[in-house]
Amino acid sequence: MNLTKENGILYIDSIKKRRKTMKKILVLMLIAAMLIGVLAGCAATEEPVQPVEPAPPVENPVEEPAEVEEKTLVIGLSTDVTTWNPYARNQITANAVQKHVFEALILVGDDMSHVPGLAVSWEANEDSTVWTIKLREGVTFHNGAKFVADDVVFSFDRVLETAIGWVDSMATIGSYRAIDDTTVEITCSTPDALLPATLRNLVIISKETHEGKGLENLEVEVVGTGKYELVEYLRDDKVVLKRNENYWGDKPEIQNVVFRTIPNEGTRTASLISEEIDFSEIINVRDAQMMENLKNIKVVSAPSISANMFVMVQVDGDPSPNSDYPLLSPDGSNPLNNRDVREAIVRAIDVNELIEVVMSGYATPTNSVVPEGFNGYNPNLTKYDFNPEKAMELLDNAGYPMQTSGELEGYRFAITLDHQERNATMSTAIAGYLGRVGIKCYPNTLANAIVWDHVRMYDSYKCHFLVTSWSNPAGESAMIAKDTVYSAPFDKAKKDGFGGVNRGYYVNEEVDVLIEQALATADYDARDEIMQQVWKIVNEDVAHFSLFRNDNIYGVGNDFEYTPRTDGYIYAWDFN
Amino acid sequence: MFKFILKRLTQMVVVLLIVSFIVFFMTSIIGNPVYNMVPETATQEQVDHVIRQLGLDKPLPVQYLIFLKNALNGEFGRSYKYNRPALGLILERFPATMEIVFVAMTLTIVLGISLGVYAGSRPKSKVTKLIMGGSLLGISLPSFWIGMVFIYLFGVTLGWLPVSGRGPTTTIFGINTSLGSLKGWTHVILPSVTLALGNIASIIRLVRAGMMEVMKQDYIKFAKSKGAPNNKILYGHALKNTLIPVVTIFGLQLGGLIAFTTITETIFAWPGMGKLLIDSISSLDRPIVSAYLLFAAALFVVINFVVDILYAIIDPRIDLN
Repeated sequence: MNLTKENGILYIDSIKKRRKTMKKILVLMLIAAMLIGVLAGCAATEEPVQPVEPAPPVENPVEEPAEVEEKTLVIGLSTDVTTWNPYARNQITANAVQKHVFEALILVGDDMSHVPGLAVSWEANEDSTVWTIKLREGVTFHNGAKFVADDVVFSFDRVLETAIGWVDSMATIGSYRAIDDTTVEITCSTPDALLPATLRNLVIISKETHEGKGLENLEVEVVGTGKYELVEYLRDDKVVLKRNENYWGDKPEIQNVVFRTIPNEGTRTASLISEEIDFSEIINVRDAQMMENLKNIKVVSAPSISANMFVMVQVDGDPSPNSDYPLLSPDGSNPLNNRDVREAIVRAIDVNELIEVVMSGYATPTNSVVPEGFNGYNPNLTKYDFNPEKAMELLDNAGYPMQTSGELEGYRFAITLDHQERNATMSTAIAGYLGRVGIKCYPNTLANAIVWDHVRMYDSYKCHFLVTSWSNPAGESAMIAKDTVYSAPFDKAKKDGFGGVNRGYYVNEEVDVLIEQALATADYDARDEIMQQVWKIVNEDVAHFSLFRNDNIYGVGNDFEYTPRTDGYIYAWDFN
Repeated sequence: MFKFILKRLTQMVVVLLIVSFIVFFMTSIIGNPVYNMVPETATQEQVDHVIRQLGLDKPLPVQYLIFLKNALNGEFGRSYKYNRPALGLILERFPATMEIVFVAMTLTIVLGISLGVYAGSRPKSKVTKLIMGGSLLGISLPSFWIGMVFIYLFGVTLGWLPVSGRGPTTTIFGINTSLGSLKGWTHVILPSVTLALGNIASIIRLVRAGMMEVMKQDYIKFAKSKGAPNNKILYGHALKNTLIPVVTIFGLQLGGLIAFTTITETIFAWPGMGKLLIDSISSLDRPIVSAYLLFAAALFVVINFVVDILYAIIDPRIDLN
């Protein structure tokens, strides 16, 4: 055995040799690990989206007055824009960010009216089946490409190809073509007087830039005709925009905009208070109350256009055969199929108390899913006010008395209220109100990941009483009616693309005829009259009911003023 | 030696196969991602079209085999939500996560070991009592709470440090990192400290316990009587003998940090992998979840491997074969 002495420690040779080999291996592995790390870093290091070459300057530029100090507005959002393919996703926050860069043929005015965007005029023929659209001249994309009719055709093709987020919008569009560089003709598959409302949602992308390059290219070359150009995009971190100096219309006041993605509400509020951001969306009610006392922040709120919608399945027999929490009634019949029972349910709920306690006052009571100001809003709908005695009377007369024995002892019948996580408190409160009039109600909270699967029509049959919310930013209640009250018989859809969210399976031929008539009526007032009639019938039938409209709550730093929009879209040009 | 490496590599492949199997089948039980992607009013036809597009119409075992085949080619599927390769998305966020992990681990090593050695060599001093009290807090307090307190204290009240987000990045050695600028460091500090506190606390306690036991050994007394300098005794002799359990725990912590920084990243709006994971789980983006879990499993296996090698270096008595 050989011994050597090193650093005052005695080693046995064989062990020493093994240690040397071990050390060599470790060093090699560390070097390998570092190399892999560097390579992974390089491979993964994605160039942040390249800033676009600015369009060539306009000839004979007008002399600018002395430069105003550059202003940067930092907005805190709850989600990231996720993609620059404007057709892949339909979500309000993402849509709003994209609409800074891209534009549609028709823009949405502050009062929700149609404003000429990339189209200067649009006209339909007699029966609203063919629309002729004249396009704006002299518009260029951020990279200098000229905007022409072919871009519109190209964009519509891409919507159909992407097939997910916006494909609904193309439902009534049969075919389209470019007649010349500044004219597009759209032929509808069914008379659609409301096509302009749909056109507001479809932004236009550049054919010249993306032709032949596949949808992936939309993420790389982000060019539109909008008021702002994309400077930098770091996924889930921030979107940096700068004003488009060659914009065809009125340029916005603010030159630089940064959208920061801060999903955690607490962090977003903290960022606002520490003045790291100038604006935050979706402030929750408790933070709003706290912020009202702070000097450097203003709390701004406005009723949103989306109202909650309580749906009850109206069919003879078992309304939810696949439910884990089925409906129970003494004689096996479906009480929700009885109109008076539905009215009783509405009358059992004290909306004002609900708003005060659950929403801390940040909501507006409503009995219509259609917001005021929309075409078709009917201000004279019968109100089913809070009246538990009347509710109990209706239930007794409908043939559902209080049971004195059996599994429903102490109640009339048992139902389940399916709802999303965010409505949990409200649903628990409602179950309480219903219990007081003798309706046993189980509030069933559905996790976000499974809720849409669960409430799916014609597939799942798992719900008989549920609450979601519905809105349509187009300002036309005909579009809301088309989706929510057009007949949907329990076993099979009546008409494709209609009644897609009529989860109560409400059926009424008269309503169907009126809705189709409205969709074909170009005259605003005539359409308004027809739709008011529709909502009157629906309300008399208690096909569904709404309790209140949430308020959208925002926090704004003192450097800026913000006017909230009715549709909840956040645009940099609404700040000053 | 090479037999050892070969054996471990085989073990790694087996582990990854099992993990991929479990991950794949578990994510396919919960919910249908299609309904989260199509508009509520989509017709059955449109839904079927998307199902076909995503390859979800094939029977589950077939989907699994396709998944394996692609995985062997380095393709872990395309994210449903982002429509880009899943692995690419994960690697894109890797540098951001590694930044806070790197700083957190450095803090853990430096502070954990030095404070642990001090506490172990002077068990009765007042400073030691302070350190041990602090470490108890570090272990007991949940990281998300600590994170929010830091934000409130340093960000909102004192205004010394930014509240959220990652700082400006520069490129060092070809890697995009925010550690190159002072502003970048102000963003990195709070999340890293939040991550590190629990780990530092564990390491302190472990090192201290080990040191206290070792200091009683004969060879320490012998070294002292020989007149060896104090530092040399502590770090050269005593510490080395306590390192085996420390290295094990350190390896586990490192794996956990890299793979599961989810909560800290969410609180500090740090654009790392953890946030990607939690978002993908809620939106049922299976390709990212599968790819991520496989990545985490591979990571743990590799780290364990390195730890075993380290054992042999630290303690020459250990024979790996």
